[in-house]
Amino acid sequence: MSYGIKTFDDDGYVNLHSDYSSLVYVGEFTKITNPVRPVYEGEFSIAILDYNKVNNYDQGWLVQYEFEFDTDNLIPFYRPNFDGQEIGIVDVVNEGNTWIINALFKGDAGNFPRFFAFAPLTDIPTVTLSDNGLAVYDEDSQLVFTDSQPPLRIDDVLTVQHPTNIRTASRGTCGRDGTNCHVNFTSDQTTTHTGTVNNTNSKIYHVVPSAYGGLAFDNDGTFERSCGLFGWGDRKYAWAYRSWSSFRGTMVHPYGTAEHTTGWLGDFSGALYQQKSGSCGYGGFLGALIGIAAVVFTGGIGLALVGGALTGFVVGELTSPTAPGLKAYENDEVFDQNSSYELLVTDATYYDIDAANGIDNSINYADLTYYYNTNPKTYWKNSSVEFVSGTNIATTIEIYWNGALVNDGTTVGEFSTSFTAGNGDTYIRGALEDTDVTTTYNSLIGNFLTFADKYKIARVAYGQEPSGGASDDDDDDSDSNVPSDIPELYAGVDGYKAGSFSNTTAWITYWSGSASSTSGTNTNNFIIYNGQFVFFDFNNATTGTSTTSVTANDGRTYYRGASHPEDGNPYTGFNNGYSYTFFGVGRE
Amino acid sequence: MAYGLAIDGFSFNYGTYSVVATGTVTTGIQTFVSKSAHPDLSDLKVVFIPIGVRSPGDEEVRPVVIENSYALYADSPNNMSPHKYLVLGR
Repeated sequence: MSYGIKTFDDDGYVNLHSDYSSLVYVGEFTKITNPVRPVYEGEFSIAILDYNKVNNYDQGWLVQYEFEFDTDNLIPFYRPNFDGQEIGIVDVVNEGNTWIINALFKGDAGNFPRFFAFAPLTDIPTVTLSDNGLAVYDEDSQLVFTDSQPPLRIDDVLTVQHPTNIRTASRGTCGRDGTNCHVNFTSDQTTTHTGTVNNTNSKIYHVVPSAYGGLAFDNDGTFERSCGLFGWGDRKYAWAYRSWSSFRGTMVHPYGTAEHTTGWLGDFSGALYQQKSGSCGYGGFLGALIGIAAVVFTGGIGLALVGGALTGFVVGELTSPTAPGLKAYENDEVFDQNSSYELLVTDATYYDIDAANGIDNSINYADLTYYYNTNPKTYWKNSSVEFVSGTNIATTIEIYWNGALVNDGTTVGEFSTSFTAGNGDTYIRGALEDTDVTTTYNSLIGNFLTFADKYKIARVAYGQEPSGGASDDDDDDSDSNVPSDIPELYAGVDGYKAGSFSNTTAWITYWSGSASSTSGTNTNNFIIYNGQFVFFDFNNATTGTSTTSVTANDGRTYYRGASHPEDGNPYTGFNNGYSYTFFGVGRE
Repeated sequence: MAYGLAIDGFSFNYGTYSVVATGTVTTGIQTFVSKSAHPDLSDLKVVFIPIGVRSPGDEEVRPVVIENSYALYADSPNNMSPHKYLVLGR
């Protein structure tokens, strides 16, 4: 370049160049359909219950998003709804200023991910500049950089690829009793790619997987039964069974690791069973019977049956021209799995997405420990009751921690993945650990099924602080004395300042004298933990600032945590001649 | 900050990708970007963005990128669903 500006990042790469437009965040997509898990419900179909969708067909949820923006080019990023969520962008559709995303995700229907849009700055018709700062234009006088819209920050970039197969393990079999049978299509093939930056709940990802395919199973046979006078005749029977699961390429980004795993998730499934019989006779037409059964499976299943299925399960939702294309498979097939494509990683907090949309950075998911125990009960149980037809009757949530039903008397949403109890402790649902299925007969409504899905669970104690250091955006915990294996709490001191212990958890140091120093005379410490006054040094009211751990009235050891200057250290608002400093606190 | 550009409190010292070129991938036509035309950039990537529904029934595929020491080529097979491309560089 003979003119202009060019700057570099610490890796030596160009990060600003006046010949090239920056990519900037332009907004968030809006979810415009309810998530669906479509199954074939046409002729000869057999029921695929929600339990089967998850455990036999490995189905995720299809959902559609929309974003209105005047740009010719757009790069979508997604934020997983929970740690380890499997997500795949199926389609991006552009019609004028409307951008549509069809996405597939794993979890409950309410666990849909969020999507964010980035576009070249040169594509944006109107950009508001800062009153002061820097604006850079290219030789065509197009704005290519402005500090008012920070460029996309690249935390990591990887070239990824999907595994060649969807499943290699046996899938089981279904035969003549196939009217209530499903083989196991669950994918068992993944490929892990390791980057350089750990995944967290604020990381967002751009990747458009190319791979898709399907698994299919079929079986057929004949049998005969005696018929006619004295059973001397034979009646011929022919039966046939077919099922499939259609898959799309997806990715998983586990928190606390730099791993990104490509895999497969189902988007459409179906199962059919047909049986035909001839008249009572003495054989001779078996071939014709087999033909009758076979025509169902070879007569254009890919189009005719999919069309019929769409009207049955997603009316008004995914029947638009922008709905994803679905395919029923007659054989195992995989397409477009050899392509490599780019995975871009950035952080939502950098674009103020967190403040605007509530990304929760208060919990360090990487440090959570999940538990599962049946005695005493320690798990998150999601019980759903369904008719055999698949109709859902009711869902209840029970959250147990160390034997106690912590959500007793409180209704938890069917799709919730976290729950904050009355005492402020938050419980977070982890991975599915066990499922109990029971069939019950009721004289009024017939058979119904109860599915009890039990998940691992983690607890974040009330006021528990995220970890952090002086160089992080997080709180500075570098002056903390709390051992790393003990949660450090700080629930703020607003309650204490208002004259109450409630809603307060803090180690508080106070002294008389000058507020300009960190301590004066008669320095003492006391501790309020979860709204309870647990420590005051009555015997020696001059424990001083050098005291960083004490044994409290309950016999437990408490440690002084990080300072919280945001609450006014030193605080003199009580007008009693004392100055106060507030710290976090950890309890052994 | 120890390096980079500071603008009224905004520290621009991180890594990013800028947009080198954009366009529509055309079936049967190979689009290429010459590396020598961008001597200041040492790392080029191509991102393909679909702009229409892909039909698995028609076995549609996405475009792919082929790279050698001279250029990046966007390869567009005949059964490709519609895509745009963005060449990103740093």
